[in-house]
Amino acid sequence: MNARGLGSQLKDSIPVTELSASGPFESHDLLRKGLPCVKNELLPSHPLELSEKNFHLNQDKMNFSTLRNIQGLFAPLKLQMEFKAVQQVQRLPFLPSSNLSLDILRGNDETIGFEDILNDPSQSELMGEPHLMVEYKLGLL
Amino acid sequence: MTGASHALRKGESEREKRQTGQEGCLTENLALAFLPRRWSHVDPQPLDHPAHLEMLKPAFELRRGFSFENCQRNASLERVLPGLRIPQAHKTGTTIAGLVFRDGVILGADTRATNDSVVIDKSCEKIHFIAPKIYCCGAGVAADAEMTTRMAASNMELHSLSTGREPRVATVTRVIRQTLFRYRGHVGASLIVGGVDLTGPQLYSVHPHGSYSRLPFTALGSGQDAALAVLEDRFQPNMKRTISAKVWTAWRSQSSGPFEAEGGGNGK
Repeated sequence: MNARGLGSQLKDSIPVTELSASGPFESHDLLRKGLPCVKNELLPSHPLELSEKNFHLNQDKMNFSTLRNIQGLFAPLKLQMEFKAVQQVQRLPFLPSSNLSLDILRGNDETIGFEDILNDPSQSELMGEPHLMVEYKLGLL
Repeated sequence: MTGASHALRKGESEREKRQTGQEGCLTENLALAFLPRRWSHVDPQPLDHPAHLEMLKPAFELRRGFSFENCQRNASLERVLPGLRIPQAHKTGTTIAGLVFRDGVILGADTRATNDSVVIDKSCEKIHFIAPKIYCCGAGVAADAEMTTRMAASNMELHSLSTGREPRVATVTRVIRQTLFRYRGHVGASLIVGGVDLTGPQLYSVHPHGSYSRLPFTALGSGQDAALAVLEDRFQPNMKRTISAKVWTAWRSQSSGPFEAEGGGNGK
């Protein structure tokens, strides 16, 4: 195996083991994931997984660098400042935020993509533990 | 049950300790901070579990769009159980074609949907509406073609409301091929986009990986060879509407399946 080639395909984040198993000594869900394998945790499970995860990031990078080359440094800086300003307003950490202003700035309010149809976060069945998430965010924990 | 009571006991003891001001025990419950609450009997892990360190990051991010959670499971199922019949995406088994004549565009498609060699649907609609003067035929994976054209239609409607102008065929083609390129061909939709806009009648064929060509006549799908043979034989540029209709009926008579045809043009 070409180790150098694999390095570019590794998932960025450290794999998080699910604590959903029932016993105190189990950390791997055998029924849903099969036998534990390090390769499965490090390599992406589908060729599109990594590119989809980083899609918006990469698109933003490309657009901002083009904008910088055409219009100078201040244009992307100003846009990024607006993005950051608009991301300050969020709901409590365990609730999904609508991000309406961010959508407007990006132009997503006038487009429909798979992100709006599949896996809508406002209809997710899972939620973090409210008290603990708020305390973590406030730094009380 | 024992799991639930175990968690409760630990939680209680933890609250007491927190009141007494001990910090060390709080890390035990940090594991639950970003854990999705699936079942009530989740047990907190012992303190020196390596998962704790990862749990301190907001690891659980809600991802919109496609989810690849089950890919590894499916791959290992395929490997382990050789006799397993995995549900395949239905292909349309289609012939679609289009040609440009003097005043507009004619698009045609057969109406048969097959599952390998069995006919499922005898009157399946393969010409999709995108705008009042732009239509799109879809071949390839049936669901992909359907969803791609529906999303393209919605996006074109929103875009034309936003710009206040009628949509153009080139815009439709660009929206479709940028979406298809993003998914590197995994969305298996081959489409023929045809319509009339202020620059005249246009016909484009788009392939699943995102390539496109603007052509005077084209055919796609599993029966494209026969259709292309007839079209190449009889097509002339700048035909009148009646003559192009004759070319069309010639193609229809060549193939075996039932047909539908849409004519696009000024007088549609």
